Amino acid sequence: MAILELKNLTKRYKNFTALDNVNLTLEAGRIVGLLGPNGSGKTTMIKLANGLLQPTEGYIAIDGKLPGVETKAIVAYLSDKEALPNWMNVKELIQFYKDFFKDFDEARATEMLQSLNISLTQKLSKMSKGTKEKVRLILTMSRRAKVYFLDEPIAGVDPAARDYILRTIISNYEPNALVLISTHLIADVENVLDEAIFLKYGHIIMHKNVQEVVEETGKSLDEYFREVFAC
Amino acid sequence: MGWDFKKGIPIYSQIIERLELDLLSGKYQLGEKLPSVRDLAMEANVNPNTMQRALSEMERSGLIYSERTSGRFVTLDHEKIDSLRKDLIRKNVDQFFTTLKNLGIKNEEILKAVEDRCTREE
Amino acid sequence: MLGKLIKYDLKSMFRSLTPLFIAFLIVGVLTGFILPSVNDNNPVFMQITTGLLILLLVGLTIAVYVMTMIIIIRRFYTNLLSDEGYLSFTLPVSHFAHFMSKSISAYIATIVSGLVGLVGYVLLFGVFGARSTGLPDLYELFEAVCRTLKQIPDIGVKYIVVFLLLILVGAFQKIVKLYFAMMIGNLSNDHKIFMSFVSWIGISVVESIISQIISYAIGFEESISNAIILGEASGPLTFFICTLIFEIGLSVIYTLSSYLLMKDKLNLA
Repeated sequence: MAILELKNLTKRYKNFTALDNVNLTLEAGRIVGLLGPNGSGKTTMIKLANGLLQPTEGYIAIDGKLPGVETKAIVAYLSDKEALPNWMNVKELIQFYKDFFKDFDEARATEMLQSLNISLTQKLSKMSKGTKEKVRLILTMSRRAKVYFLDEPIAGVDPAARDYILRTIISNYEPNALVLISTHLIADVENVLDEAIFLKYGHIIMHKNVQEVVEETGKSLDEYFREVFAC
Repeated sequence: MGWDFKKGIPIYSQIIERLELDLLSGKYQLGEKLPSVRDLAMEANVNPNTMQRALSEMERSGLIYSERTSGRFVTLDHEKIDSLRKDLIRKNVDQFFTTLKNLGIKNEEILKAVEDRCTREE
Repeated sequence: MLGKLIKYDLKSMFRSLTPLFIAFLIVGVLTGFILPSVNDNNPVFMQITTGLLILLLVGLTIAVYVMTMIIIIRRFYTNLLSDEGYLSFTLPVSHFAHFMSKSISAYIATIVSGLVGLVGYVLLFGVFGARSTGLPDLYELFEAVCRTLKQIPDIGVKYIVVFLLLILVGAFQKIVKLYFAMMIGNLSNDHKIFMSFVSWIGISVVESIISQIISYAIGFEESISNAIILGEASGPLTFFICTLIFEIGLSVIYTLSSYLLMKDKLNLA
């Protein structure tokens, strides 16, 4: 069974349509890129999958279930917003994740934090932006979830941190999990992707295996993307 | 970080090229155990499925073999490595040959240049 | 899961409230110590200091009340309707659990805040004997209140119970009314905070209009005059019970409406 399914998924607002009759099926064991310019519907799709928005028509299903308490237990979401409570320190954050997520792997989180020399007693409010991003990523990737949604995980982060983040995504790979990365920084992530989805004005205009695209066009995914989305 | 990849050519074939070079350079000896797919993928900074595909191709061509529970190993058949070496030499020669011939340079000139180069080495 | 949500809500709120409570109690105790020994014979500086202390106490009392309300609002807004909402609403808990956790923890904070105020003044008047300053001490105050109440016929435990319930339910109702206003404000895209404010005023207006209509329909004024003139006390009791029912009804309506808005019309930035 597909681990993520979108069927006739539509989200309409008063004066525009964010997603228009989108159909998509994704299997576990893949790292998929959700690519498109700002306003193409990437964030809307992810919000719908997480139950933060309700569809106007159609549905989105995770492991065969509609977004709800059950799916939230198997979905790990790294939002593009700084969603962690600023007043907590690292130790408290770990306890928080442990309290609410059965699939949270504390040992893995501690190990990753240690390897980055991030002290457990450090408060989130006292951290640099880059360190905060790494902490958020570590907490998200330490969950043994079935679906990971990473919304712009490498934007606004220095190159070294970017490398760390991509390496963490690779090392976290599970054959029974799906990783969906939404980004506009394609050149950095294309080697990590199995499949690429091009989203334009709320429509999927392409969904292919990345190697196929490169073979067929003789271009990198990034170059091809620029061609397709040229203004 | 990661291996250098050229644009426009599928990653998995570039991985194969790189691993073949590693075999020839002796980075991995005959019969040696290769790192796991995940470790190689992390080293190269690529998707594990892509790395898996490259390794499967190399299995098919006989350069590596896999033992179900223990992982992947370099072939014990040194003839395979020899023929790989020969292929590499031929490919490189073909390449520089084509470049020079396209400029109208004659075979004798090329041969002499190669010989000179070899003598200088010694 | 609800318990865990409440745990974190309380942790977050009391981080800010506890220092305030402690400051209030300390000033209360200090004032209690100093007050009895102050009279017109003391040097001016003593009298001014004491005056300032009393001013400080009054200020802190207001602060405790206002801060508790502000912190309740802030906790709801920050944790659910701002960026943190992206974490909160992806936790595997139901929207109802989120709502109840906020309501219950806010209620606990309100009760604690009320108790702290009570303790502060008990310490001030009762324990340190403000008797000598001529201010009534707690016991005398209590006696005076009971005497006044006894003058109204048929006063019984019923009244006290209903009155107490009215306070308790009223506190809850005020909290969920705030939440309802914030959920309405959240629907707007650009002016969430302003719209929350406006909604709260709007809801309050509607509430008071309806309560006026009800009290008129039940004939409250009549029953008060009846009670005083004819000695019939059943009227006011009925009125209080009706108000209690009204407050319970409001609580239910505000809770349900907020929950439905949260479930179906959540609008995170």
